[in-house]
Amino acid sequence: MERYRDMEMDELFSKLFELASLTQRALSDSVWALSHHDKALARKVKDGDDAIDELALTIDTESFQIIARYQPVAMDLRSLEACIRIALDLERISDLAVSVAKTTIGLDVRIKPLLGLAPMGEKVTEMLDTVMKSLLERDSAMAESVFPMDDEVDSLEDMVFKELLEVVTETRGVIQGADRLLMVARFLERAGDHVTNISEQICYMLTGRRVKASDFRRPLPGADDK
Amino acid sequence: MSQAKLTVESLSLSYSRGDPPALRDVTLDIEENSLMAFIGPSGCGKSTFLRCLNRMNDFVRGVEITGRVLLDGRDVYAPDVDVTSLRRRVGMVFQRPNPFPFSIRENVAYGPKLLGERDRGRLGEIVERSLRNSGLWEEVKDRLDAQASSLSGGQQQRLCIARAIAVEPEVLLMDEPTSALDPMATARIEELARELKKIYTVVIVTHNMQQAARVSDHTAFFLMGELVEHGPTTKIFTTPQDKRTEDYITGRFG
Repeated sequence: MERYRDMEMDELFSKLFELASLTQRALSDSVWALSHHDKALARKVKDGDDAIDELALTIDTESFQIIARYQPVAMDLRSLEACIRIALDLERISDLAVSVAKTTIGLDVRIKPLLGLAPMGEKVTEMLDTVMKSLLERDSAMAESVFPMDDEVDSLEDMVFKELLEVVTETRGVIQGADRLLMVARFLERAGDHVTNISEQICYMLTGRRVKASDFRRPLPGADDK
Repeated sequence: MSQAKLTVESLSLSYSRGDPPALRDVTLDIEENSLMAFIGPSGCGKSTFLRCLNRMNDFVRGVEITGRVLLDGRDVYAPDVDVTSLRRRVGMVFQRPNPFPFSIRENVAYGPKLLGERDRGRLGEIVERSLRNSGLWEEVKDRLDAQASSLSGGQQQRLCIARAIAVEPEVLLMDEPTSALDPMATARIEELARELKKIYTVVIVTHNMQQAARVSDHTAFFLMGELVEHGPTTKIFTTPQDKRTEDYITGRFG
């Protein structure tokens, strides 16, 4: 029976990778749309969310079906747990991408390009790319490598906050736009946290060891000066 | 949903007049090229039901059967049905491997010979194909003339499957085919059952619920002669509709 169970697990994981690639696309498109005031692209991100939700639900259902049919243990069981949880995190990330897209759709004022926002989006996308690659290559060290990247996302968020403060102080009347962008920074920061959840899950799946992103915090350059 | 290979309509069975029926008003479709499992506690009627599908209960003295069993739309209990040809179309594998006291080759060739095949070349092809399809060929190809009894239990059961499929049945009934086998041999038979359904329609009776969950496309749960619930296996094992099914598959009784 092993062969059939393995085949079903493989199919399940290819769906998970498909979900990851759709999510990654939604995330990078949403940030690109924001940076380039591209409302059409933002709408596309928003409209694509239903398909992502549906795929996440399929993964959830099929994972439970495999558990019910094969009573998996050890690595198989951890893989299914990982699959269910990763699908959930991916689905949340895509919801955050939709929130970014909605901000772009509703944003009428133009604010000077923020230095930190686009790199934040890129960094989170890179993190997501790295964790999914670590899952594909079954490399827990690679999965752990995203933890310090999340610290960078957090400091970029600080940077965006400071930038926006300057914008608001310099230019009257942009507070409404600025607060939205601050929310975007928060959405991206949350997305980064979801990626670290995925990474923790992959480490547990591969090694059976529970790791926490906080165990990997490393002081960023200049952090001691604060 | 693909076409039903077997359709059972309001089937009831009593082993003797006045006794409570062993099967009560069972109605069920069995899809072509699918694998259906019957589960339920001992005495629930699942084996009795299986044996109705190729009229194995005809041998039982005093048995009373009402209702219809349609194979490709034709009632197998109709007076003009030839039971021998019915059993060629609906083959059976039993709980304990029961090889005949002949060689491996003769066991597999037995059915085709009975049906009049005399050509040695063709018989050889049938033997090889059947043993390949039952996953035994590689293990026995160099000793086809060895006694069937020299094989291990799991191999004997696969030999019985080869013997059953040698006459090219359309439906293969398996009555607890792994209950006398160890886990490795069981895994092989389960894998085989999933391969066989690509060619045949397979129905398996099992005491082992997990086996039903692993191998089957559809599961039917029997209790005290009644078909309580049936449906896609994934559904029965994740969201059964009847409380009795839930209690049985979660090990609360039976």
